[in-house]
Amino acid sequence: MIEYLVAIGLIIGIFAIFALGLNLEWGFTGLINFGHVGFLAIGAYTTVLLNQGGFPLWISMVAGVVLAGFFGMLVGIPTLKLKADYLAIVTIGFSEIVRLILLNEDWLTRGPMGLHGFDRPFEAVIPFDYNYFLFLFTFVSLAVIYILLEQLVHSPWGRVLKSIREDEDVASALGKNVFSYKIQVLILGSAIAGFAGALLAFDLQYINPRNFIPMETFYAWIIVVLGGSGNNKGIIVGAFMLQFFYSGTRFLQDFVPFDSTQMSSLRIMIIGLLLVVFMMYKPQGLLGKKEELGLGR
Amino acid sequence: MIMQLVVNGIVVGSIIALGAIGLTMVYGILNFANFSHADFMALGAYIAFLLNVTLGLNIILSFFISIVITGAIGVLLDFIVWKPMRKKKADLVSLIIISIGIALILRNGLIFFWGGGSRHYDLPVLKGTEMFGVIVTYNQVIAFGTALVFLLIVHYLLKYTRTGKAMRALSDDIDLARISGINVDKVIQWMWFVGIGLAGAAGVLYALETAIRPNMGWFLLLPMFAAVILGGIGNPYGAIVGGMIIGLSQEISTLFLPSEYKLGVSLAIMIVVLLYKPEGIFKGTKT
Amino acid sequence: MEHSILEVKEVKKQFQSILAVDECSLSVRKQAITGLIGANGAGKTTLFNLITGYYKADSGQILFNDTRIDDMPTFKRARIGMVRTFQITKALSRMTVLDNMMLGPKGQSGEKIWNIWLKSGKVSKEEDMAKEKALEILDFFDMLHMKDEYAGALSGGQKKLLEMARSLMIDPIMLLLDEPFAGVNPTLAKKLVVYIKELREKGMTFLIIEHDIPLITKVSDTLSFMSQGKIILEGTPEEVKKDPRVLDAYLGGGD
Repeated sequence: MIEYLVAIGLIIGIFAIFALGLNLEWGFTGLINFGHVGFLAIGAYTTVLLNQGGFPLWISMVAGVVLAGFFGMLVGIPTLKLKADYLAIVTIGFSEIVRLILLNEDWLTRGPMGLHGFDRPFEAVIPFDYNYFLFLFTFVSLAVIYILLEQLVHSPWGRVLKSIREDEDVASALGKNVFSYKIQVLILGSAIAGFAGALLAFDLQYINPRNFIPMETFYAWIIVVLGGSGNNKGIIVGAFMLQFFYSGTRFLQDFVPFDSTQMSSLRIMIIGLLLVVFMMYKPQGLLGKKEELGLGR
Repeated sequence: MIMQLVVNGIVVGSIIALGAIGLTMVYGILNFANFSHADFMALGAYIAFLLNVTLGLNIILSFFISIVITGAIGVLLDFIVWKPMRKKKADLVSLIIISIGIALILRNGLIFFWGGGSRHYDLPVLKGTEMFGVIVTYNQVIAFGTALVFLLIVHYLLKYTRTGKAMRALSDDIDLARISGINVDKVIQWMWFVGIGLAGAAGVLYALETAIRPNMGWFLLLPMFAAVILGGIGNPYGAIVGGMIIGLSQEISTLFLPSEYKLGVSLAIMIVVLLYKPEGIFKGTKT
Repeated sequence: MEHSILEVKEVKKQFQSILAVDECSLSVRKQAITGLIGANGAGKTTLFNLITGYYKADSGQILFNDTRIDDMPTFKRARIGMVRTFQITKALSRMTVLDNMMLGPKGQSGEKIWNIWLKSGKVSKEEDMAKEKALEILDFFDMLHMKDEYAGALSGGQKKLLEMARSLMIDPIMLLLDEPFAGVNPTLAKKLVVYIKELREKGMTFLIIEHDIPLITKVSDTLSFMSQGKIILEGTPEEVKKDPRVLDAYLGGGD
């Protein structure tokens, strides 16, 4: 039982980190990133490939994070000067291209066969069940990232982000370089996703392109929408809720006449429905403040 | 070899064009990128499957009934979702996220009822023809021919009917249209019916050319967006030309790129357009 | 000494089929309060957008403090002292009034991401100073009691004031106000006129779009009348408001 809780706890922690990155982009700055999973993939694959190539794990992880952030910048440069929906379209294209590359360039990534056999942090020296350690590692990381993000968003820098989310024209009229802030946010959000990717690799011990389909981005989105865009506490709550929804429906499996394919599609249908319903009636999520995110101006 | 690709490109291009018309109309009139559009293509294909294979109707009847049903669902969604959001003056970003939710529901609804595998229509298998070393399958001819006919119908609709002209007016300036006495809500419903119906039609044709799969729309979403942006948002003729260009480019690209990366071609074209001529090559109604 | 702080030279802007600004020229002296009037659709807001950088002119030149700014992005123009308000109020609804204000000052160290941790002492000192200044300005505009309200909850007139108050936080050299008196109650409007003149004494220059002729007459040194994309008349308020073309625009069909 404990092992099961640790296992789902790990997923919760990793997805919370993943969603915190998205929240910085969407919740605080209003950027529609539909390609968040692409940066998760870059973080995971870079960490694993470098490590398998002989580099120490820490360097590989840092490289994964940095590379993810770098690609965030690359994606941002042509699109952030344009309307919000273009970013959405381009980012989803980006994450699909990443996935296609992972799938087809098997000389590098072993394509659909995926990668396994890589180091994990401190694995050699942990005397007890490694998963417990990874769980601790993940949650400590989550706490650190959470605290740093909270400091950021409550600072003058964070204030500028909110003004950009509200109305870029005003931010420009007050002398803020809107484009620069958006790039910074995209870099940071993508880097956080890259870190989550490395953690994901450690958790699964085996990564392949199927782990990085667009649906993963939308899991992060439902966490952000449920928890309250722009509310980091809510993200943590949202991550818990998503996992409970998953585990709960898995238990239900025995009692309903649907097979597992149907169950998983039903799950996603419910997630889609939640997205629609929340954006229509409760865009501030479960924890957000209504004034902060009510629709209409 | 290249001629074969050109032929394939024209067929795929006409399908993308058909789908892109509805997408560009929604973008031009309601101002947001509808990410669920592609999944209506899949819906159309499956409804036709239901009629044709499960219920045994002939394919042509199934085709037309499917278009009507799919278009009607599009209008229904306007009542349930889009109109209330317009009333709330919701911002466009929320609409995009809602459209993603609808996309997820549609796609997974299809998987729920029909499973993830691929299906085919109940059609006589006819041999294709070979001309000048190029193989053209029967299904390709049908797909292209039908698409062409529909494109002409759309042209007629937009240019000569009152509703069509009203749609163009809305695309240009929705407030001006309202003030000049056009019943905006009604025209918007027609727009959904036509746009989504066309998507359904495009879906059936695409399924004819390839297969009926729950994910089929997803492969075409990005190319359709690229076609819309290339042609100028809100401009149906631009979407048609854009669709042809995208279709051709994707096929011809296989001469020097692995065919798995066709999506990358649409994305690359889109990025180039966004960087250098974001209004598109034709006069769109928005930037 | 007549020094022009803003020079607009034959600036043109075409939108598809509409020539919004037609080789328009305008010159604003330092510390002058210039009113910009004209019928709806004359091109006043477009001109503002061109001057402040929201639109790029098709041709012509714009000089601010003798520097050409045509290619300068809006935020840079704001940093060199040119700030504008908007015709349709853009109060940042989902932020508090105080937060709106604290956004204003330029060169805040805390706005650079590293400084939050590397220079945290400096950042909090600047925050305190900014807060003091914000409360002062809010007090003048009689909005101190609303400092923690979300700006979206303010009335139309209050939002206008907030926009202006917020612009003052950036210490502009020149303020371009787009219909600042619309929706503001007469008492406060009068107070605003006094305040604008006070700010002018301290060195600020103003270019104000306004439809309320009596009010704009009271506050401006000169009026520029714009019609169909061009400034066709300039002079003292007394002269301009008597001109038949102006009367025609405001009584005949304009408003």
